[in-house]
Amino acid sequence: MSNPSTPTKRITKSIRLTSEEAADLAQLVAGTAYAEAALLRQWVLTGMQQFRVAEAIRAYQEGAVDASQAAAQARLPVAVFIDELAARRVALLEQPEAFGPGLGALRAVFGAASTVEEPDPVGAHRPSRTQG
Amino acid sequence: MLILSDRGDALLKYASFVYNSFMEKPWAVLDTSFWVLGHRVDVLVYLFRFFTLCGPDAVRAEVLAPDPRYPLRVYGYQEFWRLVEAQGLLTIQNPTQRIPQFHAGEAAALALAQEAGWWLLINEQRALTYARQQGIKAVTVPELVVYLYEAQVLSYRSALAKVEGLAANTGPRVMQPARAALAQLAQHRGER
Repeated sequence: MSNPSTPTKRITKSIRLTSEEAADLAQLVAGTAYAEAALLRQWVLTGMQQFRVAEAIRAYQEGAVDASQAAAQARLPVAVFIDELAARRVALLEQPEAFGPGLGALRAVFGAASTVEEPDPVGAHRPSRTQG
Repeated sequence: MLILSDRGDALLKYASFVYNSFMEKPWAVLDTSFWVLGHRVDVLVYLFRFFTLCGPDAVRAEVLAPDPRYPLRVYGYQEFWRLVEAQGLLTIQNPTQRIPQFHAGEAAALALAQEAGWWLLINEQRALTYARQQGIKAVTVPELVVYLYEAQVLSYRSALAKVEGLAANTGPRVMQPARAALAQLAQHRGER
């Protein structure tokens, strides 16, 4: 990790644009408070992060890595990565056996009770019922 | 098979048959995947009526880790964790060992559930499969949603919305029986 008091040395990378693309870029930048180079840098960094996440998700979907490894590849915390998977409609549960045994266990422990007293989530009891 | 009471109307008249007031709530260990997905469909709050909840430090760290892309952002699942932890509704418990083939949070949650004989709340396929192979009582978010409807804690409309909210992150081979279980019970209750 770089020392905040020491400016990080920056390396020049060049890209080639068509004249149309360069004009497009100039038009985007015109009238803004940003320098063209600063914007290009920001876009590259943002694009790199998006690409990193997309590649990590692809690897996860292909089964090449688990959620933790994919999160590390994406440079995101596990929970943030799982949330990202959710937002991008990636399945976390796929095998049919993911549904059933847990439901059966819930029924076995809680389901058969005919007691109708309403519980309070923290343990005390109250008379009214919670609507779902 | 769904639980359908022969006492029909008498039982249906009363909302909750999920909780026996004389029963001590069983312990359940949270995994990051369940917490994040459960929050997305708004079922976490219902866990407290069934379980005494805990999570290992590793899961806590995974849940609360800030998003490096947006360092000031606080996600809802993070805020909710802090809230219930601060209120003493969620305690930190750690296993004596980890299960090496899983990442920190899953490894700790699996190990704790296994060591203590507690329930495991998890929503990630690989760890779920392992947990069930080990005989751990594991519950996924779709299973909880369907059970909440069976227990009449949720209405059919609410349960269906939650199940459909999971569709984006749940494969069709899991969604199909979840939808079927809801539909079967709703039909029996005349709610569909």
